[in-house]
Amino acid sequence: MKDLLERIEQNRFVGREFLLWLWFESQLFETNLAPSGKSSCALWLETRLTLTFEREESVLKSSAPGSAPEAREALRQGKLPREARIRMTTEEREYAWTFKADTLGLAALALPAELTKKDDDAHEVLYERMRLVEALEATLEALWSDFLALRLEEAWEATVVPELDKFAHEEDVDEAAYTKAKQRALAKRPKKT
Amino acid sequence: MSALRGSLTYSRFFVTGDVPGDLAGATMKRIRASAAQPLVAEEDQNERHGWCSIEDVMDTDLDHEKVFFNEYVCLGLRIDKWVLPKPLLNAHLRDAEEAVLKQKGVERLGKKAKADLKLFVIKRLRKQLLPSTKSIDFVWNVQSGVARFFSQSEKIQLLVQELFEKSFSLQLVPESPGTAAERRGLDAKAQKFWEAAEPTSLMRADDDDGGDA
Repeated sequence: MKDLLERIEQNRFVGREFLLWLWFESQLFETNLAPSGKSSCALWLETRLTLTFEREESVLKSSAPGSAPEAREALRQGKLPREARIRMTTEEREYAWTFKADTLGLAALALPAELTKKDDDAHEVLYERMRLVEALEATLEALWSDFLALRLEEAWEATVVPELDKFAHEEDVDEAAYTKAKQRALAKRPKKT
Repeated sequence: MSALRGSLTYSRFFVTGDVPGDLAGATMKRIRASAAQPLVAEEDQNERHGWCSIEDVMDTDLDHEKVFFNEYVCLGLRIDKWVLPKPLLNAHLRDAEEAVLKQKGVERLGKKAKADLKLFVIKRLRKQLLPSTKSIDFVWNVQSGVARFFSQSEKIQLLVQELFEKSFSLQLVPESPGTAAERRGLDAKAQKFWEAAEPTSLMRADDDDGGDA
């Protein structure tokens, strides 16, 4: 077994690719994402997007930074998204957080408003908040799992990267080809026992 | 840095190792032994950390009810630190140095004497101040094995990892793309792709690299 530090550090860039993929799917499917085994969700980038390549950084601040031409320009410069403010609604709950791709970390996470009606009992407050956090994380884990199934397949280089490349260059993405490749990759994924 | 109120900023960890069936019985004594202890002005230590109640940073008399919330283990990592304002320290140091020079009838102090004097002044000043105290919440869902620590500072994460290991004899593995991929249970083919993965670049050879973004 590899050294823990090596396991933690290996392929940190994949976190940025995951964020790129979330952004790509959000744009391609008009915010409607379908994580395997979970309820569908609406997910989009909002207010702030940071893209990085080595020491070069582009910070975009607008209501929809994912739609900004500067964001695609940054991708064309070889940058990948390192951090983004994301909003997601699922099962009538709305979350917003800053996603840190290098660690898959969540910051400034705003939970659904249903919490404000809770009483002062620390135990009850904790259970409620953790329930909401765990529901969000379960959706994100399902998305990560789908992404990974695609990333660690021939389809990534053969189909996904060319479509991401079109996305970066503001050309028409072949939605049908991408969806087909994704479905095939997800179908090939070994079933968990 | 609270799990109980406001927006949440945290780091995720996965607990590895064999969790004892009677977790509370097996660990409560060690948790109590790692509870935060107050800083003492006369001691050399500038910073100290240990567990406290998640509900009250000043409560270090931990018991089952304060730590075990059903499937959650809830603790605060309390960090106490002496913070002496630099101008105040410098002013007191200058005065003390002048007094010693006068008393000894010498023109300057040696390096060791200066260091000793500084420590003496620091300890004297500490008695007039209170240490700064902060607490960062730690919540471990024993059933899922996921622990959330409500700070993203790498330095503070190391403190909680060390204290957790000491208290529970288990390891906290930080979330990262690498550990998250490993947790998915990659088959041999996926593992091969993982090992060979290179960062994706969407820059074409003919792209102008002098854009505005």
